[in-house]
Amino acid sequence: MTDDELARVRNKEIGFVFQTFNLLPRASALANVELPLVYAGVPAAERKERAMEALTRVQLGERVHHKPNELSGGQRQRVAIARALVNRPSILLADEPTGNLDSTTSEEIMRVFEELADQGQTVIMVTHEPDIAAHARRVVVLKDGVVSSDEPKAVFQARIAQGGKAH
Amino acid sequence: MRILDSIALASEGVIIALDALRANKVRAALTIMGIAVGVFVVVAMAAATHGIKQSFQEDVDAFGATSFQVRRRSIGINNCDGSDDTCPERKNPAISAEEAQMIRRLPSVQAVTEIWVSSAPMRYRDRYLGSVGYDAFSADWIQTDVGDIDPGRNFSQKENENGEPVLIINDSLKAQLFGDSDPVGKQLLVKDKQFTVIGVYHTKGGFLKTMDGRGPDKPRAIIPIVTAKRQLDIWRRGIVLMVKPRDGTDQADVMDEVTAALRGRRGLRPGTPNNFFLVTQERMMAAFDQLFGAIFMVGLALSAVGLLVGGVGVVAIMMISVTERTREIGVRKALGATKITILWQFLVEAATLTSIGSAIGLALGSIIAYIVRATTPVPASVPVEAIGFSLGGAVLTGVLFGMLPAIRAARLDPVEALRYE
Repeated sequence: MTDDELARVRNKEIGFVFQTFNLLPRASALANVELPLVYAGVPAAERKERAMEALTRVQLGERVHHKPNELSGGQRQRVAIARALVNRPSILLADEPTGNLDSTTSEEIMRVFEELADQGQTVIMVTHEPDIAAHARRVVVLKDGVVSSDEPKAVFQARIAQGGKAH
Repeated sequence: MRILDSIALASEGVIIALDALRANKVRAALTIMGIAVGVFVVVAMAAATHGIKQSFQEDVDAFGATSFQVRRRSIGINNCDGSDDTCPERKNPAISAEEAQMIRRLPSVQAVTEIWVSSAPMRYRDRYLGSVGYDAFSADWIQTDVGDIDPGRNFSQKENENGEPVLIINDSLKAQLFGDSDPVGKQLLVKDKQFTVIGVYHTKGGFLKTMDGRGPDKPRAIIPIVTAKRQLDIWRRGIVLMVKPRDGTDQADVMDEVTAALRGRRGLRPGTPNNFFLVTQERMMAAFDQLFGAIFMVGLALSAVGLLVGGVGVVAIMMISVTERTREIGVRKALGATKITILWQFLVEAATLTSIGSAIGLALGSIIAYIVRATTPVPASVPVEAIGFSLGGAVLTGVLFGMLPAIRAARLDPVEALRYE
């Protein structure tokens, strides 16, 4: 694929959520969420509407005009998720989305992902923490770049509960 | 990318650029200053030449746009070094009073003023001025010059022909010699000759007149030309005729007529060149343009250096900006930004930098133009085109010099860029 085709896939098909949020620091939450729509060529009025919709989906309908440094870590990650969602991607790709968050906030963020998954959104998440992995319906364990197990949530949870190692 | 999107991205780019400037004030200020100085020089020079030219145009219009001069020698920049080889015009005969009279009789000519410009010391009682400029005119000067006489009157054709020692003084000369008293009818000395003041004239002084010392501020007088020839030993070869065609005639036709009449009178055979010159107001404008064009080119070269320095600054600041924002570029690419959108964003940022510089330069230039206008006789004013040119030039500089950093940003690999610390 050409660079432009790759850009289109990143724009339309995959929503990225990073460990360090990677929000644009000088743009408001709303502007951050609008950015993928800008690159998709969506008209301004529709952009705003869809961005608000995405922010509401992650339960952040209020502080939308605040800059990232005026938001808490959990709120920042919600903005990032909204940004990843806004273009209705096929896959939501999350790379250790709770890595920079405390455990309470991590749980909140995981609930957001679970709700999205319940609504039919495919979410692929990378994590080191079995607690976080336990939220997934299917857990694939990678060790040194090789798949060491691939099991449904129930099997994985049972194995962990018996004191087994995650990998 | 559709045009609207480009504009949306551009406005976003401008906002980002302004943010980046706020974040790096000193660096941005230095870059902007380079551009500002370049633009300032161009604007200030353009303002001066434009103002002078406009004032000159006003003078020309006041004289009557169709009036033209008959001169012994041409005007403008030439390579005459004083020898006969390089300037054959030196051998041209002087324009004579008889020739002026002949042109005056042409049916298409309304008026012909014989003009000679000189200066002489003048004295009234205990007041003495060492050198007062005067114009030696024929009586019909009032038809080809601008200005009016009050109190008093113009000299008559008869007075001129008889070489009567009369003169008309301007407001400034009146003030210096006579103060508040009425000068009409009073006697004064020009060189050592007795002259009678018959009128006071008010000139509408444009810049060129002022530069010549013929503006309203300088003391000046008008003397009948025959009187000047007889009493004040003027250098007759320097006489110039100002010819005013009648209304409704075509200037070119009148010039042809005058040329034919002069050639006939001087007995020039077909094929021999004219030994006189007809100079239209446009030609005078052109001579002016030639001179100020040269000055302007120097200014342009100077400002090009300024823009170059500013441009190098743009490259530096944009390179740093791209490096500092590698992660941001990675994020943007992860969200679907294409190479073109990233390129566009950084070009807009560079152009914003240079446009701010250009705006500052324009503002400074305008202020200088205002100060010059207020304190010197140069009627400087910033021409509208200069605003367009300097903004356009600045944007162009931004795009040209911003291209390299912008390409670097656009080429970044998204994965690498996101990993960048």
